[in-house]
Amino acid sequence: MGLEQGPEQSVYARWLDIGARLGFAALAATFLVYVLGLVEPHVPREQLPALWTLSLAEYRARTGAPAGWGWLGWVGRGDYLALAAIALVCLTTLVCYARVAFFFFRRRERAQGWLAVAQIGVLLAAMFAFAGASHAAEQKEVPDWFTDTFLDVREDVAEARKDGKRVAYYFWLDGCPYCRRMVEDTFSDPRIKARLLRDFLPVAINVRGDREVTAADGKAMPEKDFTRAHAVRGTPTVLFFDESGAVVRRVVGHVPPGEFERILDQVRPRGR
Amino acid sequence: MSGAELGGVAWWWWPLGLFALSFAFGVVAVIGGVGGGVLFVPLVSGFFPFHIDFVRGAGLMLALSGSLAATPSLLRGGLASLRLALPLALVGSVGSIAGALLGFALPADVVQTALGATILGIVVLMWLGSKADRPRVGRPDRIAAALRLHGLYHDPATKEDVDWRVHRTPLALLAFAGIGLLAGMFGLGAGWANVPVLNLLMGAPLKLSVGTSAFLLTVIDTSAAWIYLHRGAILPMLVAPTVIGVMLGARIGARLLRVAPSGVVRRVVIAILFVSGLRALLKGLGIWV
Repeated sequence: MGLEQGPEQSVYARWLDIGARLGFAALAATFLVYVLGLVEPHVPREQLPALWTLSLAEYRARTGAPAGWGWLGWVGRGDYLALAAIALVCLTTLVCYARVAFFFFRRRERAQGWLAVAQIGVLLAAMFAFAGASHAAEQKEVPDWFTDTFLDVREDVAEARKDGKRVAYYFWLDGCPYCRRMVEDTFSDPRIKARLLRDFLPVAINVRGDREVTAADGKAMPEKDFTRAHAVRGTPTVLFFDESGAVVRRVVGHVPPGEFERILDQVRPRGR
Repeated sequence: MSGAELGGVAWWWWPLGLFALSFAFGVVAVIGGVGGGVLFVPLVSGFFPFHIDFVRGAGLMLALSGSLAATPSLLRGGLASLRLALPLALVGSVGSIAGALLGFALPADVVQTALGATILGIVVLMWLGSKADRPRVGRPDRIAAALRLHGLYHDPATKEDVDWRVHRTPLALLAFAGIGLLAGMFGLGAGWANVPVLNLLMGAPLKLSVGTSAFLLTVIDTSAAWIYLHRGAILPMLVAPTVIGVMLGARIGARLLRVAPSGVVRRVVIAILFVSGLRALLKGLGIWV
């Protein structure tokens, strides 16, 4: 036993032992779930060898992997479930420091107590301050030139018709890699952007969103129900509405700029 | 080897291969007296198709896991000092956060070149291998005295109670800022630097230095790990088999420690480090891609 090390060492050791064991057990269990495919991962396992050779920036652009705390919303997928267990391992030190800081202050060892508090501050900064900055920079799920409307299909169709345009509803999902590609690859193409702005009223619908949408029959419902009502089963999906408010074309999945332009030609408003 | 050439290999070979390799690292690292991270990052980034961003993330988690597993018993046995670690860990973790951010800001070839140079520096450090079992310490400096950085531990090998104190704390704090920076930037465990600073610079006994170094890694690597995790550089498919492999390997290594020729293993480790450090340097410089 340590002779003059003080009881704080035993307290720290006990908490660290429990925390590390829990973390490693969780890591082994969740990895098994992930590797055996018991829970569907976000990035298919067989695609990984082609992806992990890329730089981090390219990997994220291709897979739509979230930055910052965004992964927390994805723990229902096998790979991010295992990541949550890794985060649990990383949390152990913070918990131990919190315990031992309390211990130092109770024993009136203020200098040590404040050192522990400062360490907790540094760990929290690593967890939150820098995570937040990178996450904010990544939030570009929908192009900012899409139109913000009151999400009333009848109104949108009428307004578009007035300008000789049609309505294009873009159904997207937070973190969906193909939506990300649709935005970065197709919507960011200058020709596509120009065509969409000239001939259409582009409006974004979050398939899991709760904003109220008024359908063509006047019925109000949250975005997610509107998505179901239009039988949108995958993202990204673009629905083109004609001047009467009927769906004239359904485009499912990521479509490269060239092909998307041909589709725009086919569904363009009359007289354009 | 390029990713395209390797595209034909089934995905599950990779975690299996990493598990086997990390298991071997675990065995060798314990016997050779180094952390697994310092072997893993240059070797895997030099000879495997994974991008260095993901290798650094896996290396960091490997070093962190090994130290988390070892520290409780070291603390209980008095072979790691929490008191001694508190100020050093604080400075080291600020350094490691800065290092992690810098590592993501710099181009990959610059990081690879700097990694190669650092590993070759470690080879020199290990080759010289100077250490002192119980260095003499005169008057402790003001910080050491104020924070009561002294103590007593029982050495089970010699059955003695060893009285220890430290000096040159301000210099050591500066050194730990630099160590943290390197650990965060390259995803290395930093035992190779922690131990000499604690032992030779501060004058802590060798055993206490080794134990406290493991504790320091739990804090310094955790700080950088959050940056890697939030940036998306922690891929569970690489990290989990690596961590599990090295921890199982370390258990076997600890058992073999009594019978294995540790001097020979250490020389083999130094040779591996030299080759992988050289490879990292030449890959970074574009000479051997």
